[in-house]
Amino acid sequence: MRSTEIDRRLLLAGAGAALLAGLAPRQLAAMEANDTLFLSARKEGDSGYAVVVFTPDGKDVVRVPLPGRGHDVTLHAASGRAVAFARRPGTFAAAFDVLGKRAPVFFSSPEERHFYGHGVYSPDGKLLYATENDFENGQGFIGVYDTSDGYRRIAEFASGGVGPHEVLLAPDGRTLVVANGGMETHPDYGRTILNLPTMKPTLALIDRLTGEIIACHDLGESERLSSIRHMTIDGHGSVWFGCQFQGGKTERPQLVGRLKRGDEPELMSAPQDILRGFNNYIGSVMTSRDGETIATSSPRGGQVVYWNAASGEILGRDRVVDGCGVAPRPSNDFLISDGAGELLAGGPGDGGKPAVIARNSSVAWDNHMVGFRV
Amino acid sequence: MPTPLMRTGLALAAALCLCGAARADGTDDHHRFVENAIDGYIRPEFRRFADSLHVLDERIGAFCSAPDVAGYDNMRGAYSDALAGFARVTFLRFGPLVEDHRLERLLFWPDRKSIGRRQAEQAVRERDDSVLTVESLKGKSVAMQGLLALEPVLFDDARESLLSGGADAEFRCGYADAIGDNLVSISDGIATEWEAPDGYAALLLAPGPDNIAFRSDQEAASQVLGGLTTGLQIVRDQWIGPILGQGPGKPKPRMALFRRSGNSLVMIRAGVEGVKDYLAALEVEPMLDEEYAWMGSSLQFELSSALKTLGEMKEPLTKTLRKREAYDKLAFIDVVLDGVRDSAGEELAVALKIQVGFNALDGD
Repeated sequence: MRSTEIDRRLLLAGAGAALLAGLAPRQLAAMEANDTLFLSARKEGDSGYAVVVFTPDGKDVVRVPLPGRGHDVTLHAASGRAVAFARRPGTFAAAFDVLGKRAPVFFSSPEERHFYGHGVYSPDGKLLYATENDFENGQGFIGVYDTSDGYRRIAEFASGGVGPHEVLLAPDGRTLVVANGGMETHPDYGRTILNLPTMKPTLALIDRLTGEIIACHDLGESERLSSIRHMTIDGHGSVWFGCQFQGGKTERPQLVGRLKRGDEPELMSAPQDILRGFNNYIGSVMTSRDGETIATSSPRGGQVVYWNAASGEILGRDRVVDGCGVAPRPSNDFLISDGAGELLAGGPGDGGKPAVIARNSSVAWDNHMVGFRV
Repeated sequence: MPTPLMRTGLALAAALCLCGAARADGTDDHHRFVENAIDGYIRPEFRRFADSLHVLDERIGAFCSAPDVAGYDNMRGAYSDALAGFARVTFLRFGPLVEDHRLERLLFWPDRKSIGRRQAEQAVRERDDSVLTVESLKGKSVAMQGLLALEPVLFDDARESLLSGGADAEFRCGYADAIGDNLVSISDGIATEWEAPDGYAALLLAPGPDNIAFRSDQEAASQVLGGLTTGLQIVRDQWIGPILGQGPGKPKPRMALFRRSGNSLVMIRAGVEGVKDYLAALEVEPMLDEEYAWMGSSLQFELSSALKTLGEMKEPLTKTLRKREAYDKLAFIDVVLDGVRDSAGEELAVALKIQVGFNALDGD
């Protein structure tokens, strides 16, 4: 689950008072009026990019301009640290404070590496783990960055596959879960897939303290073209993942699966109608705040599908054109963002009619959104 | 013979179509757009490509049965024609071409580590029997099966050996023959599937809730328009970009596709011509509102200008690209194609009411 908590009481008392004193009135007002804020990268106008912290009704609280297109944002709730990553094959990352208390710090992937747009903090917020491509050798890596030293890169280990995309931290605080999409790319050839006939996506479990690969799962030869990209961890500790199928439209394979610790991954059984609606593409996977509902979005199919985390049943579907970002709301449904600058509230209980909450046609929300409690 | 009643019916249907064309959602326009693509370009071009591979296969056979310089040059010409044919269809990456890794079996590219050449050379060196029949070749790496592998087997440094006959030539001929047969079989399969009335074309032409691939004419039209942007992206990202390297003075012409047989520019030119002819076949003008009426001819003009500059370039790129003037020309072509790609992907898509969302277009 990526809904995380900044300790409100701590912040409002004792140590927090000093932090609050440094806040601009806008941020302070937003904190007082809302118990949840959201983070997302977006495109602004024709060619501008930024990452923003915003209120549930879509008002910017903090805005950090980015030098290029961003992708996901990862958050360390207790400290308010966040990092927005460049979209692959970008090489920049922007570390910032979610309440704007410190100036943002920019850092880069090393030579002959690029980011994939995702990362995760250690539980104490001291280390940041980022998925990276060693593109000369076509191997995936996890880069380790020291947040207390200007995000200096201090270590790396193999990701357990090619093309690592999203990385999450398991509830044990020690195991990294990595979706290795399987697709080899090299900046010399843009985003061209270099290994389609031999690609092999994996879900790797890695001990973040030793770099040891504890387990490396795949979906079998028949699902070889289903690139595992995005994940979430539900309230029961299971990993839910979404795939992007690299074959043609005349095949509509299952794209959503679940990995219970100690088991092999299993694919869900969505009916044909839902599969067509995904158009072979899952953009984001997210758990509700109570941990019981999973949202899977497909901007290419224009639908968000909700699943019961325990039973694996489909609970409902919303049609959202170009909807991709999904983040948990306190009401256990989801905020959905789309490429037309809309924010919508959707969930299994909305009867297929998500409510538009805000619209700003001068921006395009990018693939991912994160929600957190203040 | 149509009866008068039937004629009235046809006329009525035609009239209804005309009315429909004015509908705001552009459904009939989208349907016609897809039809234009299929009948005006996709079907004839895949058939032409298959024919070019038949010719290549025959000329390989003819040369190998009686090796001489004229036969060799005929074979070389047929190879260039087949590569050009491939460049004209490679951007149609939906339906039959992308089934069963046909695209990669026809041409495995990009091949950063020269896997295709190295594996083909190794097979020749070690006289690997398993490349001598189509059936066993199909079980090998895709990089050994197609147009990429033919280059080291028949061209490159193989000319002298092939002309002198002997065991090496015999083996090369056997391998080339198997590749030729394989290419014919793959390309015939693609052309036939596109021509079939109930194949992928039917999915594009009859969208709906029960259609596995397309729910609406708009979705089908979007797939078709995507061919344009894909085509320009392939030419830029895979054929031009790598040789432009890190900037003027630092070109990397050794990374050019089919450099060793002198066909790099053949590919680039045919790729741009293919996109240009595809755009023409789509016949977008009647579908554009007045404010966008300029688009079709403007994009054609840009592509013509890229082709004109391409016509001034010469092989071998390893020599010619050392000159700043030649490098600048290629860089200019790259910029022009980038502009056309942006216009086709954004403005033209808007004008045709088939714009694709920010996240859907270029997701990750």
